[in-house]
Amino acid sequence: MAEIVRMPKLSDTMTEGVVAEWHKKVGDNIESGELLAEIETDKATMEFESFQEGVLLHIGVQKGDTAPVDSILAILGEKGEDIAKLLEEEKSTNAKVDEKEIEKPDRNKS
Amino acid sequence: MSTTTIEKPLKNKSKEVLNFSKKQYLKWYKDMLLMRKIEERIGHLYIQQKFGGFCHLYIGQEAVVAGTASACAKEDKHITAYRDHAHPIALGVHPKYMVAELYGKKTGMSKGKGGSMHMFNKEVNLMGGHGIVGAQIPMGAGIAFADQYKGNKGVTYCSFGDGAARQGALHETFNMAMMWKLPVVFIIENNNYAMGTSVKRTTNVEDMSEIGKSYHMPSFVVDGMSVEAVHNAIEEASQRARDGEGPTLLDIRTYRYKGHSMSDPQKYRTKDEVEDFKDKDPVSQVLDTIMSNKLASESDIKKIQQDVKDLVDESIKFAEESPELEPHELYEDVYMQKDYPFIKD
Ligand SMILES: Cc1ncc(C[n+]2csc(CCOP(=O)(O)OP(=O)(O)O)c2C)c(N)n1
Ligand SMILES: [Mg+2]
Repeated sequence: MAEIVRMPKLSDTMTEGVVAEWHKKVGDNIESGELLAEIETDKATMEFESFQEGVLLHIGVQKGDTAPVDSILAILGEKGEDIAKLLEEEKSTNAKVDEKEIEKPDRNKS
Repeated sequence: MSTTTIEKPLKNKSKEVLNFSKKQYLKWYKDMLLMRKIEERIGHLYIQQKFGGFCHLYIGQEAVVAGTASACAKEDKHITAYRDHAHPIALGVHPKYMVAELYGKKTGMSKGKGGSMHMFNKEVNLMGGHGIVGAQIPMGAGIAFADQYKGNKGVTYCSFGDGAARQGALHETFNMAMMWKLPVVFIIENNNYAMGTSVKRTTNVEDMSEIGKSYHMPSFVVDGMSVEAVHNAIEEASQRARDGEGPTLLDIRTYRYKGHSMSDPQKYRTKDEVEDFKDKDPVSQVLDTIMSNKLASESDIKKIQQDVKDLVDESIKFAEESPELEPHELYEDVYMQKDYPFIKD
C-alpha cells in the first residue's frame, strides 16, 4: 500500500518548509531511519529521516520549492504501484477541509 | 567502586563474571528497548503534529534511568527535568499513560495538563518532570528534607543535566544537603551538551564530580552507557543516604543521539561523534551480555522485541482513543489563595 510522506513540522513555529535537498530520487528504496531530504524551516535547515519504508514513487515538492506543513512531500510504496488514486483522494479531502474552514468562526476574534 | 569512565570501553564480555541475575539483564533489556522504541515513535508522532508542545527525547541515555530504577527501593522518590519520558517506564508505569499525557488526554499521567515535560506519578513517587532548568535541584533536596524530618526511610534521586549543574541554586542546595546530611543522590545526566553548548565551552572544570568535592560530598564519575555501572554507583550512594551519611553526587557520562528538542539542527557536533557513542550503545551492550553469556535464546529475544512493539502500539492507540478534557476541568487542580499578597490588580 502506497503511503504519503507529509511535510513534517520540524520546529514549534514552522508553518511551511523549503526542500533544500533531496537525498533520494524516484525509484530508490528507502529504509526507515534513512536520510530522505533536507528541509529548511523558519529556524534552520534540518535533516529529515524517513520513518516509513518503501520505494520512492513520487516527489511532491521539488528541490528549492516551498510547501505547507502536512502537504505531500513524497509517496512511498511498492515498485510500480499506481498512485493516481492516492493523489486524487488527497485533492478531494483538501477541498472538504477548505469548505469546513470557511464555515468556522474566526478564532482570533473571540 | 565500579565507576569506570566512559573512555574505557567494556571488553571481553564473554569472559566477564556476571554480577547480576539473568532476570535483571532481561528486565533491563526490555525496559530500555521499550524506552528507545516508544521514543522513536514519539518523535515521528511529533513531526506529524499528533501532539503539540515541547518534546525532548532521551534516546541514548536509557541506562541512566534503568540503572537507577533497578537499584532503588519502592519507597524512594524521583525528580527530574523535562527529558522525562523514560522515567515512568523505568519505574514501572504503563507507557500508555505517558503517551496519553503527551497527547494532553484525560487519561494522561498528569491528567493531560502537564504534557511532555511534566510527567508525575504518585504511586511510584515520580515528583515530575520540570521545565525550569535546575529547579529540581533545590526541590529534590526539599523532598529529601521532608523525608528526614518525618523520619521516613526513602532516598530521593534528583536528576539534572550538565547545563542545569551550572545553576547557582545548586551551590546553596549542596551546602545545606551536606550540612543536614540529607538522604539525596544528585545525578548529573551529563550528555555533554546544554542545548547546543558543550561542557567544554561553559567551564574550566570539566570533571563535574569536582563540584561536589568542594562541599566534601562523596562524588564520582560513572559510565552512563553501562547500566551495570550506573546500578552499582546508585546502590552505593543510596546505602550512604540510608545509613544517614548524606548526599552523593554522581557525574554520569551519557549521550543523547537525537537533538536537544525536535527543532535542533545539531550543527554543534559531528555525525562521527554521534556514531562513536553508538558503538557503546547502552541497549546493545545489555543485549550483547545476554547473548554472549547465553542468558536467553534468540527466540526469547524475538519475543521481548515483539512484546515491546505491541506495548508501543497499544500505548499510542490508547492515547489516540482517550477522551479530551472537559472545559470545566481547566479550573480543577489549580491552586488558588484568596488573599495572595503579591499580585494585586
Ligand atoms: C531557568 C531556565 N533557563 C533556560 C531554559 C532554557 N533551556 C531549556 S533546556 C536548556 C539546556 C539544559 O541543558 P542540560 O541541563 O544539560 O539538560 P539536557 O537538555 O542536556 O538534558 C535550556 C538552557 C530553561 N528552561 N530554564
Ligand atoms: Mg545536557
